[in-house]
Amino acid sequence: MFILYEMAFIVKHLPKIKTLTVAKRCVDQVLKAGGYVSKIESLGLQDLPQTMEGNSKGSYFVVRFVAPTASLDSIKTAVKLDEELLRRFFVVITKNKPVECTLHDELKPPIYRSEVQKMIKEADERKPKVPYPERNVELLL
Amino acid sequence: MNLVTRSNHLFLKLAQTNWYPCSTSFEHCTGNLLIVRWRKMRLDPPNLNKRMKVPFKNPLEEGEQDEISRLHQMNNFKDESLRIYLKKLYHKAIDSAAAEIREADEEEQEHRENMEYLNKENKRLAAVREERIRKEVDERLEYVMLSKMRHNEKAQRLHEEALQALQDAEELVQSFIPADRIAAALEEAYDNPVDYNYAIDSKGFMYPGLKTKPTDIAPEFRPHLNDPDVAKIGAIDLSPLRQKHAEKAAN
Repeated sequence: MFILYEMAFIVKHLPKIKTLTVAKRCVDQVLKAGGYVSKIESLGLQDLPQTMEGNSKGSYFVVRFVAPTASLDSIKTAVKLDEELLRRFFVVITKNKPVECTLHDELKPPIYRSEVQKMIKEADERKPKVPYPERNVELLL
Repeated sequence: MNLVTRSNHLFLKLAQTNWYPCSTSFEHCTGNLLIVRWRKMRLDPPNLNKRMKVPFKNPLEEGEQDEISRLHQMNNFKDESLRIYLKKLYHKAIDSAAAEIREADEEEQEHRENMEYLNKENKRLAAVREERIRKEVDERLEYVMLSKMRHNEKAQRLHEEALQALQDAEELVQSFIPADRIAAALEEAYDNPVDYNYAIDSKGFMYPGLKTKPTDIAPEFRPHLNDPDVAKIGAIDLSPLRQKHAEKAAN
């Protein structure tokens, strides 16, 4: 059973060859740790949301790989020490649950929505079914 | 001791042999002699000299016979009353014994009825218990059957999941990039960047791309959220857009 990891990193705004060299260096850390790369994607050169180390642009890369869990820390440490990278992220890939489009239901008035009807039903169920017994006046007298 | 006196010795031999001594006296005892008075038996004939004698009875006083009869009657009455009293006691005892016997019979009858009721109630409860146990057994069997079915389904699901995981792993292994092709793959990826951004309007039409305007895509090229091809994000084909942009740049 594999655990699929995703490594995303932003390379400084550099020429193509240098950018590819930096990316290659990051991917080699995975191979060095005994991992295998399954997918490499680039999101292109984009404007950064904020200046990072004096850079306003960066090249986004996404790499999916499989590696031993024990060696993940060494990969992280090696990638973290790379000065040409602005940011790096590691996540575990999990399968997406199938999502159904509920737009037509959400556009209805609230009372007709299935979620609201479910909430009303739950509130009705929480009410005590047996009412509290009335106070016996004769006993008090 | 010689019981015969000297004086009576001859007379005893001559007269009667069935006389018996009625009293003895030690007052005039001398030597080995004892004074004894003798009396003849009741049916012995009277003495010869008293053969013709008529016994004289003293006449009773006036009213004495009545008093004697009264006392006799009173005595009889007392005897009768005592007899009746004892008879009553006897009957009372007899009645109490009969009552005890009757009570014992009633207790026996009540015990028998109680036992019958208990047996009937036990049978009824046994039937109810058997019904309940049968119901519980049925429920248990149903539960076991359902759990077995659920277990089989779970085992089947886990087996399918395992097979699916194995298949996924095989597919993933096939997608592994060899070490010597990493540089080429990086270059290819750099040349063909992927854009996962897209916008959506109220009708569900999508506008892929970060900086795409609605007018950039013709209505026939707009993918919809409900399209099966757009189910997984990132599968949007941007080639028509790029082609359009290229045409626009050329013009």
